[in-house]
Amino acid sequence: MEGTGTMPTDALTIASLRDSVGLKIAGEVDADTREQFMQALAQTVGSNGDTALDLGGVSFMDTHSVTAVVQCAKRLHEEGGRLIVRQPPDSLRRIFELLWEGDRGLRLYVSGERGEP
Amino acid sequence: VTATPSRERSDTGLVHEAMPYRDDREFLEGTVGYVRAALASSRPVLVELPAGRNELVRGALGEDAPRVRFGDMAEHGRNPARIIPAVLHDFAAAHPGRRAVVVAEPLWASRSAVEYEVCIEHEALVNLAFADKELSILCPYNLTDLPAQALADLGRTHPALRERGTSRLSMGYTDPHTVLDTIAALQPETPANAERLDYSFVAEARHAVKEWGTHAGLPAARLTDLLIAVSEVSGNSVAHAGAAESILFWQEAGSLVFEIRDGGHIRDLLAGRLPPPDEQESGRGLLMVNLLCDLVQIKTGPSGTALGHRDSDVDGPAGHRAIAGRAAGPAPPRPNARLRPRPWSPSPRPETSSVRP
Repeated sequence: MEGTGTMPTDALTIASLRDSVGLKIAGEVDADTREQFMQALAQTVGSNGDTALDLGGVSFMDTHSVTAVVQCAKRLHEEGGRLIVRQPPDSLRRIFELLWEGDRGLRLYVSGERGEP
Repeated sequence: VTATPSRERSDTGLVHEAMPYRDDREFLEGTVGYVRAALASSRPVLVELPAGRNELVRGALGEDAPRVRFGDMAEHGRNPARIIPAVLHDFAAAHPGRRAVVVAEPLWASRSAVEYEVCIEHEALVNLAFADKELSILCPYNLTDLPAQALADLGRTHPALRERGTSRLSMGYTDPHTVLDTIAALQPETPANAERLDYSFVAEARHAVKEWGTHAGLPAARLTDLLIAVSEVSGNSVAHAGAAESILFWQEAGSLVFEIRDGGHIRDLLAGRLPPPDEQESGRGLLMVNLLCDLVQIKTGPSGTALGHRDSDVDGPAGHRAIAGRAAGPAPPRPNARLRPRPWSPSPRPETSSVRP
């Protein structure tokens, strides 16, 4: 079997949220796309206050990108803000469960359920 | 490391001993005496043994049993590469400033040949991972049940042997790097009829695995685990290798096997065995793979890396899945790693969802 050898242009799309401070992400976040994701995350979470990540269109996130989200949540928490994660993919839930569940210094505010990716 | 009868009082650094035994009486005399000595010194004690053996020790300890934490090695150590991060490191980290004492039996008769190999690799790595830690580990080995080479292998990987309550230096102890090189040289077999995808982007590998796994009837939760593991392995390759990669897939004896090959060379022998500092953003990918999988085997060298992943089915005799990776560089491909994820049933029928996660 041959791979396509090309990355689809819609592998990852990032837009600002209209209703609050934050990002609306769609696509897949892995070693090939995470640089773009993490840059956008760092720029958005730099400001104080609550920040939202709408991940409803994200079908996959890898450990490195979930770590970046968790570290953003910690930073925001220390500054008195919250990171609100909307409709996270199963991969985010699973990675969070294995690496950070039970970490009392950390809270991810998750809103919205969704079906199978 | 020196071995003296009074070592529990005077030790500094890692004390890593094997305790060969031949029957329950020897097993209990050795482990219970060791645990009682640690309790007498008010040390935190963890006992991680395979099926049924925890109950033996608990019964023999009697009133002291509640002072000991027990864990199921058959579950926590199903993937032997998980024992360092999820059992030993976690327990030591929970007791900073104190000498933590662990009784850990990683090997038992029903372990496969690949699991045996990964166990020996694990034991060698313990000496590197905790070299300067205040940690005492006693590893009982049931010589009656294990292959004949076990006695030599545990002598190679443990600086000391404990028998009849006395510890002595292991004459066969070998530099862990030498042990690991020997294991890395063993080549895993890949069937000729394996499906193969040559890919350039992680998403291509992930999509192929999703298709293969779905077709094979993998339950959704297990598929999520598998997609994370595959993405970490191929993502690791992309980040560190930048060369052509392939993923291979086949079924054998009720198992799905995945193998990933690339031209990278993982130089950190402890990659995936210890968590990085909290503030570090990278370095958890292979750790995640170890946590997700039932067997992880990494074969790495200057000519490439292979990662194998295997999934065993606790409800059946022969359920396995593996992911492995190998190099496709200018040099002959050479495997780097193997993994085996948590149990699942390979049957595509709906009732497979009753298999415990």
